[in-house]
Amino acid sequence: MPEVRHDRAASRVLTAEAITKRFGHVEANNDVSFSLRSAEVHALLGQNGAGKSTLVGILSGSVVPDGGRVCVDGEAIALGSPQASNDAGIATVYQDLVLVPTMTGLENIALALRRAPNAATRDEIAASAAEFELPVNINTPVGALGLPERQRIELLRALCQRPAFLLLDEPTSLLPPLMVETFLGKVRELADRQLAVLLITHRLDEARLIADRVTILRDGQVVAEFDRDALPPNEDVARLIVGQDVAASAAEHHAREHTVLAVADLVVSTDGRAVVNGVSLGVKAGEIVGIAGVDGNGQRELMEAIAGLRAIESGTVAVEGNQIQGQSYADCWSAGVQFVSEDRRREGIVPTYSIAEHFSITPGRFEPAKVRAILERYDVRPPDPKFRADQLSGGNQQKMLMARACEAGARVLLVAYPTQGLDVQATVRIRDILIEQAASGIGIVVTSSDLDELLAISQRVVVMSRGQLVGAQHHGAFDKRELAEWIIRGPGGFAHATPDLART
Amino acid sequence: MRRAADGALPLIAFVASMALLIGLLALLGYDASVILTALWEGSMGSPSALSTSLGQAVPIILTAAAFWLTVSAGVFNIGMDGQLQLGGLATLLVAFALVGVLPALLVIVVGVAAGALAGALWSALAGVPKITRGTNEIVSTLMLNFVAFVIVGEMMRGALQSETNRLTPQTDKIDESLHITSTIGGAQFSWGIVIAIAFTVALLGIVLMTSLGLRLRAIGLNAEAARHAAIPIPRYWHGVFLCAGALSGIAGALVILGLRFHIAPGWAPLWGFQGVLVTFLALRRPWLIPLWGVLFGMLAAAGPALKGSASVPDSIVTVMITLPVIVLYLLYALQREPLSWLPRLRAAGPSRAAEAQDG
Amino acid sequence: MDNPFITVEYWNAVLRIATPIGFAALGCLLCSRAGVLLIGVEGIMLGSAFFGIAGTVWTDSIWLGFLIGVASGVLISQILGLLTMRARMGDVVGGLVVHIGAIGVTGFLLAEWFSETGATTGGKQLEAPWPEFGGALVGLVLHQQPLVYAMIAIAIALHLSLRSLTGLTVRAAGESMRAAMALGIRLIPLRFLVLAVSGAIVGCGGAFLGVGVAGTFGQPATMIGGQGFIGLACVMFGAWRPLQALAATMIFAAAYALQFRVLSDDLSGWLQLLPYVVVLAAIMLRSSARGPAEEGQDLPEAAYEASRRRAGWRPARWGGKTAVAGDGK
Repeated sequence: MPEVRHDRAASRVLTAEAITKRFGHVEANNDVSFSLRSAEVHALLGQNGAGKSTLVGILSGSVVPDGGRVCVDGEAIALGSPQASNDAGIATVYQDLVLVPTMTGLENIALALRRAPNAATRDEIAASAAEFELPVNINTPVGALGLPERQRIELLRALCQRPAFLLLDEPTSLLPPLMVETFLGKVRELADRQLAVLLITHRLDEARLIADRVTILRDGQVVAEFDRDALPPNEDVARLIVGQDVAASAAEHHAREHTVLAVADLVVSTDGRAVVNGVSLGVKAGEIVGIAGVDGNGQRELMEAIAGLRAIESGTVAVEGNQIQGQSYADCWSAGVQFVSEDRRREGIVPTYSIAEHFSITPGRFEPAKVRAILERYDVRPPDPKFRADQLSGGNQQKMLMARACEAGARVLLVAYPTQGLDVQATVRIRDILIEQAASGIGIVVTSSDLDELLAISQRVVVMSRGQLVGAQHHGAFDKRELAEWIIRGPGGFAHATPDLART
Repeated sequence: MRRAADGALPLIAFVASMALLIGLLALLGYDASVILTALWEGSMGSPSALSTSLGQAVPIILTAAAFWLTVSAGVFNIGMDGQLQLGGLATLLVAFALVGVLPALLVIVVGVAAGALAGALWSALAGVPKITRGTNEIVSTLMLNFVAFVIVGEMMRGALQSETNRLTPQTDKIDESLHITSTIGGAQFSWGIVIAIAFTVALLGIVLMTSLGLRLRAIGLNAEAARHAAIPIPRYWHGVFLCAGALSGIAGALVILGLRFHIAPGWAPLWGFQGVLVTFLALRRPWLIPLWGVLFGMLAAAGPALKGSASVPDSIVTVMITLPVIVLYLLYALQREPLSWLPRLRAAGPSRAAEAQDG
Repeated sequence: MDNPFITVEYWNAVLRIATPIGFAALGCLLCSRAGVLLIGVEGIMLGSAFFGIAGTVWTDSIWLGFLIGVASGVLISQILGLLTMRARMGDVVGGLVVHIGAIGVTGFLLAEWFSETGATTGGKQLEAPWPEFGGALVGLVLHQQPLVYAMIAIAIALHLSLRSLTGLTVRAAGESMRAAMALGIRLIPLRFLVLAVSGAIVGCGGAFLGVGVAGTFGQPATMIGGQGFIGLACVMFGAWRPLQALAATMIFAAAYALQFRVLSDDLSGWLQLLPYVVVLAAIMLRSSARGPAEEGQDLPEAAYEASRRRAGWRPARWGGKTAVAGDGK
């Protein structure tokens, strides 16, 4: 790869020194120091909630640290100012893309470059797109584009700013697995062009593939830093990342013969596009079914449609043999379908309301006296019904919401990303709750982008891609490689190859 | 401590802005003591002044209750004035049609019910499009206000024009048997104030103390969370629009039966807007809505006295009721901002820490 | 032409009526695109109508009076910004408070400076300063009050500038405050600036209504008569696009002007309903168009934090470490 801009960008270095940031009781970054140099890919490894995104926010100026310095070539830059970070040559591609959805790619990029969105800018962007080999459509509102393309636009936007330092926050989480390798190749290539790339990821294999250096973050602290050659074997790195072994909760076979949820030929459309396209799925009492797949392939819509939170175009949903499609969530709730969203702050917690009040606003009849017992059983801390729910930690909020759903007479429990953003202990507890509930005879559907999590708790894992279920595996015969393959290939490769989906 | 101070802030804001305004008026050359006397005389100085104060308080309290109800549920129905006027018109029509046919008490009950119905239907006219199609309810309720004003005005000038007094546009007065007033100390006191407070307290009780109200307020605090707690939001919103409209309609009915007895130009000044201001003052202490309503009624009643004896333009009353809201929100903002850089005090306020969690 | 509606006078009236509504709509539109729901539009119009008249009386020049009216519109918009953002009232509460407050303040000042019954410009008109030529039909196009052309020019300017870099900045603030902040856009100063420009545009409408149409200032509570809110409705009906909003304004103005064309006593009163009913029908039936995603939403706490930091306030200690963050200027 020709080092085209070697002369212009003499080796530069970005250092973070003793960065500290707290959110309430959570120490997101604690005395974090690290450096990023030109022409290297520096991978920042850590699990969800390790503080990676906070660090990116601080470097890019959108989060103000409580302490520490950020230096470029030895000079401290102003903190908490996106402008200052930008001027220092730092460009960022955020995990949850921050493009303006109603604007075209051209407009989004022009805005970031502070240029008028005219023909000259268009040509320049097109030239950059060609230079970096990023095929993008910059004439359509980005909201109408698929996630991978949006991400390419965001990457192009960052590259058009001709940065010295490129921060990529979990860039592969939105990509279909097939494109991950191509993307990582591109990243490597950028580093070979003298760019300094910070690759934030929770996937070790990615780091191993392209990183020159690896820094591991756990609970807001740097726990290790390795050069590429000195990187220990996977198991050791994994232990460093997690800190303790996540108990591989044994998913015992509690599944009974009796089917609690039967979904047949479900179709859900938004804006004329079928986001769930003919899904059939059966869940038995006591069974946990994991839905794997890349985010945005219809998992969320499927869950919402089953729960009555989203309009169904066609198909049937039956709980215990009673058809419930087309009913409101309140009616579905009474029929025994509960949905727990991963977005606790937006879709779970009512500000200022106590825990007890969160129970009493649901159609289920919760006697106040019983709530305390429930909270203790689900290990919500503090187990005080009068405690304000918005002041609980994320893990306890999740436990509370799970308790509310399970104790409302659930027959079918739908859980989206059950452990997103939770620490290890809460994660373990939430997984235990799911397994306990299944053991008590509830049918559970879990969706997650974390395949390992699904494999740890599910009796059956199905793969969802482009609105369809494309394959299923049962506990005892899990083959991670094959599942990953299904996730990659999508519905085309597996037409009619999964007869057991509809019936079980 | 904090909670007590919190509760006192609206009162502090009110007193401060009154002092500020009277100070300003004094700078403009008015006599502060004469103003204060006029305020007192006009609102409580005589039985008739007191009866006017309480009479004006009736629509203010009820429209405030109506607006507070919608705000609690996360919608802004500011069509109280139109709902009130149509409610009054409906009551008037019932009074004309049924007097002598039914016993007076029954006519009054039917009249109030008709007022409530008219207000509720008028409110639903904005509510249904809001809930089913997402039409902005602020604009639609405001437009419906103007439509209601034209309807009532044209009825007053046309079909209902008084036969006995054709010189000015106005309707006939309702029969005296239908007046819901008692004479105390030579002044006519409207029982409307009792009815208004009763309705308001009942509403406050339902919204603040029942599980129905708990769900309703959950919608206002976080509609998405409410939806995920299986609360049927559209059903609740329909109810809210109907109830709020009914309350405003009842306000119109009580104004006809206890204060004005007929419709004439200027019979219903923009009480709904005063109700809006009362709501904002009482947002953190909703039980105080009736008290704020009476206070605003007193100020409204003192307007003529201010103009008469202190020769201050009576528009100053509108300023007097607006300024406290501004001062109050400034106090809230001050209370919030310094706390963010005074570390010791900030530690006492846990709500912020919670805001930032889940990172 | 025997149809009384298709006359030059009628369309002259339509244009005159459309102008204040059009200015209101364009001001609301600019605010909307930046994420501000301008509920205070009538308050601004009322203030600028009053000061337009007052300024005309003071300076004895209708154009100077007009400018004073526009300036007061800007001033009120900044007060509105203080209330909605700094006092954290939010767009709806702050807008309503400004609306009601403007009724009180203008009423008080009217009685204080002029008389209870009203103030008048004494028949001065904002006429076109060039001679009429070519007959009524040509005059309809070429001999209107200058502000009619100004309104159209502003609409075209808005239409073009929404596609410029400035327009992108404004739109980003209205569509996604998070994305805007990540790009380093300062939301609070931007909103104040947008409010100032909108205040000037809406102020043109208010001042025109005062000195150009009415010529007097009477009852504050009925002076504007919902024309500002009709402007807000035009924005919605016009799908948040300047030229469409202007077209919507013409439709509503045509309905408005009808009441002055029908001389039959029985009907003319009821015809006052027409503009409001047309507006209601329009916004209720048209619901496909969506406004800016974050229109009317409160600013995120981060925007205030950024503003505090720029003002030199240092973040408080949290835990043990001393804070050294903030650029300290």
